[in-house]
Amino acid sequence: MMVVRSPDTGWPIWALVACTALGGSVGAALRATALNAASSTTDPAVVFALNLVGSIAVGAALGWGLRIDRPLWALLAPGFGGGLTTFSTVTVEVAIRLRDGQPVGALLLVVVMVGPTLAGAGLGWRLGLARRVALR
Amino acid sequence: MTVVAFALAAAAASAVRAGLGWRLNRHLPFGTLAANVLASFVVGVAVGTRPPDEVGGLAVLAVGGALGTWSALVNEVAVLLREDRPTAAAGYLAASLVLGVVAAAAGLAVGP
Repeated sequence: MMVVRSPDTGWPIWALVACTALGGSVGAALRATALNAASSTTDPAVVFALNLVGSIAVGAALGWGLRIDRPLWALLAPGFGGGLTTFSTVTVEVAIRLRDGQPVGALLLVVVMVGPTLAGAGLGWRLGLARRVALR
Repeated sequence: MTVVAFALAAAAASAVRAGLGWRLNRHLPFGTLAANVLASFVVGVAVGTRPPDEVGGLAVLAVGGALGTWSALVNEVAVLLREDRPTAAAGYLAASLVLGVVAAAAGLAVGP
């Protein structure tokens, strides 16, 4: 049977998909556990904390030199980071605020969610870079 | 049993999202954008049609959440900024948020 491989790294696609699925299920299980313990399953404070941690982790993986089509990247970034963080919960919370006539609350939620997580992505990247240099 | 079903569904959703990224993320991360907009609609429907604290609601939320991703979004924006493409970064972020909120609102409108 022919194995389809990544043209960039030579890794079989099935292995990369398996790593992504594994990381995704672990990250999503953690997210569900945290949100289940919260006051509501879309609690913006908990979602913020999860998104911040996941954004720093993926930034660190990038800075560390991990790239697409490698098993550890698949496990950590699209897998664990992707499963732990959530975009859709944020957009639904924003849409609910807009529907209920709270445009200021909606805008505030977006600003608070984007600003620190974007900064966290940059911070994670710097931390990863420092670690990569230290490893050499 | 719920946990196993949940983990399997989230695994599948993550693989679909990563697949979209592998296929469509080129000059701009269109694959992530597509996954996030689709996920926003799914979670909008889930929240709009049932109380989100029910077990079924939680499962759909978890799967819809795994289909979309926040960490890829902000890191792709950060990469575009590091590549000195501020217009692309701002446009990608704005397009994600606007299309995502519109999709979420459309999903919410499906509910009772």
